Amino acid sequence: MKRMRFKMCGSFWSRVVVVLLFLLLGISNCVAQASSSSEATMHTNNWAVLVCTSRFWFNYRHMANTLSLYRTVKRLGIPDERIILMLADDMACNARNKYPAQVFNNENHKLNLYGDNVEVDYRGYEVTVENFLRVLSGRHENGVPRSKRLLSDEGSHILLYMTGHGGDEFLKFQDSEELQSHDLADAVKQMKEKRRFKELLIMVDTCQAATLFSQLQSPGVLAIGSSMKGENSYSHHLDSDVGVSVVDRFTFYTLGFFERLNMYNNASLISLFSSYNPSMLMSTAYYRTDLYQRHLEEVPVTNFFGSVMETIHTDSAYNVLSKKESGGAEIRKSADKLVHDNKRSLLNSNELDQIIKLNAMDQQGASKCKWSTFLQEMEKVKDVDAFVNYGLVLIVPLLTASIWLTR
Amino acid sequence: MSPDRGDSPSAGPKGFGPAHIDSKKIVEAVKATRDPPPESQESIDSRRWIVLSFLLIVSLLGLPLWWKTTTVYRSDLPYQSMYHWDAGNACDPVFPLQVVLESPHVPVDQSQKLLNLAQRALDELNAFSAHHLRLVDSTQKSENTVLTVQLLPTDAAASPTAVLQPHATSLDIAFAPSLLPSSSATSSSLASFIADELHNTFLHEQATIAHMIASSPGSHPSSKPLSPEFLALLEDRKTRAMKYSPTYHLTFTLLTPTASPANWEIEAAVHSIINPLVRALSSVSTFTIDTQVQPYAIFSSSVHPVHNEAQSAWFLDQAELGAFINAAEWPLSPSIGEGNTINFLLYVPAPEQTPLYIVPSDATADASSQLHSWLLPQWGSAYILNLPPSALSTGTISAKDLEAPLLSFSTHLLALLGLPEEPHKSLPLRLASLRRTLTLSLLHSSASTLGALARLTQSLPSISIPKPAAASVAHTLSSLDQACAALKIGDFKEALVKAREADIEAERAFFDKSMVGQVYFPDEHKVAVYLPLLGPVAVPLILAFVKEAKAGVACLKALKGV
Repeated sequence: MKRMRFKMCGSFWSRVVVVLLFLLLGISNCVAQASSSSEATMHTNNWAVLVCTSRFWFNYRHMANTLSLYRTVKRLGIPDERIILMLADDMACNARNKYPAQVFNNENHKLNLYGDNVEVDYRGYEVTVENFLRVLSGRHENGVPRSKRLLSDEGSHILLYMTGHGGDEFLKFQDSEELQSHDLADAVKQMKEKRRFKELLIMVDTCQAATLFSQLQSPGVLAIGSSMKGENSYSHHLDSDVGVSVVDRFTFYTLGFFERLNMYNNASLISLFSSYNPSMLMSTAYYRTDLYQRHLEEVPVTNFFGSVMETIHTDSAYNVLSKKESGGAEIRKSADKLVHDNKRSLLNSNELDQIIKLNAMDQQGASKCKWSTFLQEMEKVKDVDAFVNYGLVLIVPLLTASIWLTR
Repeated sequence: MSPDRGDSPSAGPKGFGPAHIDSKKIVEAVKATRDPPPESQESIDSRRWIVLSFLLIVSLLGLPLWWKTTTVYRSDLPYQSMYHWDAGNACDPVFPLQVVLESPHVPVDQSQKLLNLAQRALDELNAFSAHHLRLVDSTQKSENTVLTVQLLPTDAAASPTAVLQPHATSLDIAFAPSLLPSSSATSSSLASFIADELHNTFLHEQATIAHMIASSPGSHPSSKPLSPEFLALLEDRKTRAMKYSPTYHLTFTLLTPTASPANWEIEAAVHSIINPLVRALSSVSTFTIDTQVQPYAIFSSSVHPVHNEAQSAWFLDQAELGAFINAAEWPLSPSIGEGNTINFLLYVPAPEQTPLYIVPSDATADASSQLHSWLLPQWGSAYILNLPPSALSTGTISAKDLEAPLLSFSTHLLALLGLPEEPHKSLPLRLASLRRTLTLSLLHSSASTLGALARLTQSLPSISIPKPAAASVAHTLSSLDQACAALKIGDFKEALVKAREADIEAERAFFDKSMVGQVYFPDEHKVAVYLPLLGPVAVPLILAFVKEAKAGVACLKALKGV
């Protein structure tokens, strides 16, 4: 009872603060939005910020999630220099890893995510809320190399993927810090103010992911979360060889969707969003579109999850001054390419088989894994901090009482 | 009470002796509360001093210290002028272009007359007052002169002709001396010809600047709407050009799918082709040049050249060009200090896949126009170099073979830097035009950065504003003023320098590293931090104070009562 009241009280005050903030900022916000809506810049480049906020062996699946997304966006054409990967990176060489220097997101162990060319930008203890906010806002120490910076501009599309343990309006960073929904919203607002993106897609796979988006207010932002408020996000399956769960459900089905695509595919965002089946996810995928101007049917997923470099071919211009640029037939994505992509389609069918098999496994295994579900729930108790707070609040009356008694 | 204790003769007062057990008395004795011995006035006073001194220390030293150490440092920013700049009210950029009329072979009074008439014709032609041409005679030639008009009277020419020099800022006008205006003439066909030529030379730049000013905040609606083709051209140039940076790194990469060729005479080629261009561009930015060789560079899995038997050549589909750059495998992201990297890729196909071309975009194009280079907007460019087997056998690409690719790259470099296409013929004029448009865009971007910073710091009251940031803001404002003043007098070199300075400083202010941190702390966190720290200290202190205050009040009441 007391706990309830405290919670209500807390949210009441935070709301009051928010309302006041709104009133204070009303005017400046209007100005900002007026100036930003007048511009119509073209989409020029794609960036991806992929964050795994957990560490420790039992969070293996979060690293696998992030590496899978990394592999996907790279396969779909975002170059490494435009991917910021934040990873605890303590799985591949963990003493408990039966497969040294390998990370899998599936118990069939077909695809090693930790293969060649994995470029982790922020590793281990560098994955902090501060560094994350620095990446978003672009405020770095002087010596930080360019590969660790998000050097996007006003024509950029940014994919921000985060996975880890979270709760009501927060996401834990390596069990020591929290990213609040306010922090995220502030950072996004700063990015918008400095025109660091044209469109931003935030994808979060964590418990109560939807709550993380509640404070966002910048135009051009699209958000997808794996679960609603009060819901947990579950892992997909346990790999008995590795000994832990290897992938989360939301990410698993997202990857399943992308494995069916190649670089030139024109699947729209709405087809991605509608591909999530709540009974498979065991949570409700939530997406927030009110800040986003375009129709989701018209936006290809490769606008965020990949990058097809636009090319302007030129005939051989030998003379600088005569400038014989052919004036550029611009090449755009075409859906009907790659007739001879045998290798890829073979891989696709493999993956599809795998997905179908695992789906079947889901349904029959639903009753078997009650115990593991319970364990997961225990793992994800979100109100630990609240308990601590109540304990601290209790100190006051206790102290008062004890002093009164010893008077 | 344990009965054993009674055995001890020395224990307790007499009433507790085993002989006189009186339980009632004992209970009473236990129950009776005895007052402590009265405190001496001295100890009461000292206790009060102690409580008071603690209170004083906490309130006079502790609280201010806490306040001082926990408040976020926020320097004063000149919000007024920051918003002023952002709104575009602080400076109306003007571009007075000084054009010198040089006429060594024409009498002074006639050339003066011609100058006046041409100036009048120019003013009539000009629809955009912020960008205008000012004709002066050769005595006023200065550093700020953007173009020199050479008047060359020749008897041969029937009608006047104008020739723009490709490597100098000079326009040569040849005309028949009979065309020179008489001292009483009110119009002259030669003067209007000169005015027309000059106007057309700068028309493109003027339209660009008019568009930039019209699309900036605080502008008055442009008098003349621009044609959609021109807007498309501008948009095209903007999407193609790199974001401006004071330093660019040009990286030339040789990629081959095999081990050979592993050597190229790039130094000599760069020296003769790229260096002169870079020197010409040095007033815009600093350029560094790097080269690398990457053997065994294979395509990504989605690129498959097709063999065409008829032409005995391999062809790449245009749609595949976007994926040609194998971002996952090729080491193309050298992070070299500050500044953007512009990549130039030279791909030498394997001998069995030579020659390799791109399928032309339209079927009408004849097969002989073999395409092998393309531009990647905001990134760089690529060139497929098909070498004859004899050249490949040496394992080295000669400087002569590199000539074609590097010339192609230099064209791409100009496009990537956003060099305007007009005036077509004269590279120096195009460069000067780039400097002016760049100055304007830097002014706009630094002004909008200032505005963003001002809005941001006002909307996030808990964010700190460190001193360096405030200094950078001040620096930006003064640089902006200087740039604006330099524009007014037509000193475009100085204006670019100052505008660049302003932009760098504005970025530095906005991206100050200490303006980050978790700016939002929920109330629960504050409670959790302060309670365990201050609770145990504050409770006894406050209770002691309340007690003493009560005693004091009682004391006062007693005094009054008496």
